Amino acid sequence: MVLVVVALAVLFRASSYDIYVANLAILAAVAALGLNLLTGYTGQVSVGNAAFLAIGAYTAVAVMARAGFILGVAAAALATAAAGFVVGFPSLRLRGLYLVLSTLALQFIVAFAFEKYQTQSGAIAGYTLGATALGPMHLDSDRAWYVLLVVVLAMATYVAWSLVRSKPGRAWIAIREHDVEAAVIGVDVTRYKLLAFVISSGFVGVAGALAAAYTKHVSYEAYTLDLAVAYVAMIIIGGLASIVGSIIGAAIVTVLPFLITNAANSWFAGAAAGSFVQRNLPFINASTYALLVLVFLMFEPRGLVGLPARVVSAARRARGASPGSAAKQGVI
Amino acid sequence: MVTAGAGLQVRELTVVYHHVATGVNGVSLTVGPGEMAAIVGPNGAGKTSTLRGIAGFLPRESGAVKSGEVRLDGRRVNGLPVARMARLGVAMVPERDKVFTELTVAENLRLAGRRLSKGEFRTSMEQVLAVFPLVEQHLERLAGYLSGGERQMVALASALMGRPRLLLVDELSQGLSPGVVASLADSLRQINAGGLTVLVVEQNPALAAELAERLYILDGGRLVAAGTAEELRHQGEIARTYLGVAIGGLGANGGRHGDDGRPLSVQAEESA
Repeated sequence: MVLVVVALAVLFRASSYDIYVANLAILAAVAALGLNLLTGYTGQVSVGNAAFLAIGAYTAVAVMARAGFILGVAAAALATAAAGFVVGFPSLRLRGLYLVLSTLALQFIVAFAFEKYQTQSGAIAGYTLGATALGPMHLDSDRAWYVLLVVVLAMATYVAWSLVRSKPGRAWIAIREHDVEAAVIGVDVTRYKLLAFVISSGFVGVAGALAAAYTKHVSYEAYTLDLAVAYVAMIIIGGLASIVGSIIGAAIVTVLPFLITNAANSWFAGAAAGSFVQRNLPFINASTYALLVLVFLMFEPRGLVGLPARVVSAARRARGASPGSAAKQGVI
Repeated sequence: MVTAGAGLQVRELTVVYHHVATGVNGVSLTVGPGEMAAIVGPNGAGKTSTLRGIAGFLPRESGAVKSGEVRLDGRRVNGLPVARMARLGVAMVPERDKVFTELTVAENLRLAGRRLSKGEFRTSMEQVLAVFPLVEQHLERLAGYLSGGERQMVALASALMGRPRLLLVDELSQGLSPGVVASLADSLRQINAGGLTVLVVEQNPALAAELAERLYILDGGRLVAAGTAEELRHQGEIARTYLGVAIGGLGANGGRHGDDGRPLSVQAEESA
């Protein structure tokens, strides 16, 4: 309800630029939701997100021109889910750092493949997509896209929410905690790990396809390892294994660079330090979220969604209630 | 719990860790359908390895059943992956990590009973809660906030939710207070009386003797003796070394009288 009000307020009050930023945040949130299912709930750390975004985007490029927007998104979801299925196999044997390395391999393979494909097909500057039409509607403005993306995010949130509250969610959490013991009570670990990879990458693929259609441009340079790491940062900052946290984290990591840029422009305008700050904005942006990740890992591993509980528990302690009772309320 | 218990035959089971260290060396044991048996023995005797060898629950890559066979109702099952064993009706309560601490108790039970239909699930839940009434009070709590005894109850309850035919329990009493152990022992008896085959690993020989019809004594990875508590009592040396003198007579205090300084007597005293 609150979210609906916020969404509508943004729609009617915000400038077109703000809506553009909001759209990017929503796209990131869809992918972050997917990643959180895999990393937060199932405990499988992956840095393959940029590669999955790329697979989604390139599939969209290939399919949308011929078969239209909806089929393009659907094809992107399927293609990325299939890629996720393949990438999931190493996770059956590897864990922790080794799994990260195997998803890192995906990043480099995909980046290499798309670079070759792009340069050899003559599209040095990347691919440009035409205007998107959704049935009779023409998505020709940021505002129109905003409406569509809010609906998509709502759907993605609902799907993720239903998944984690039912059989797969319980199995994923059990696998995250101790996978062999999960198998002892009969959880099919193979199936649920692969399912996590498939669904997670499906989400990321949809985000990649929508982003391609929205920005109307796809090129391999955009899908860097930095981008993959940014998604990991989103779910750490927002909160691992938290639906709301994925969205908040995506919003923060997406919006932060714009805020910093704006702040730098207005505070340092004309000042001597200004040009230094502006020249180094990318580094300032990167280090800001790196710092945020460190702070959250050290002080609030539950992420932003853990903060209210921490505040509540601190308040109770101040009022003299037993710390135990507060802590019990805290962890969800 | 409704399903009839399965018979378990283990023949010449050998479990090897890292290809070189033998944990269990040619152990054979039989648990008839609906029977309750116990494996006793000092630390490092191979009790847990035997149980894990049966369940297929050996640490990935580092442990393996090297030879011998495990039969469930006559069907050879060793070498099957652990999830497969679970589906065949072998439930195991491991020594550690027995509950999923980040799930609530209800979610733990739902996870364990997730292959049941709605109706079956409800019946199973009723039956399980009848055996463990305390569990019902904690359904909405995170399992991570439960005490050791409560965790053991939830673990047993989860194991039962899957309607197993063979229940393997690793260390029923370890680290738990005597009152809790007595209540768990009662529950286990009740479960067994319902027809479920049970094999329990137990450090406390007196408790094992109280619970089980047959005892298997392991030491150094080998089977040293087997039989009913009564039969073993007459094997003077073995009874004194592994079971404590007062076996079968004094209940949970049985180990107290074994003052011959052997390690097991000391352990029995600690866990009694």
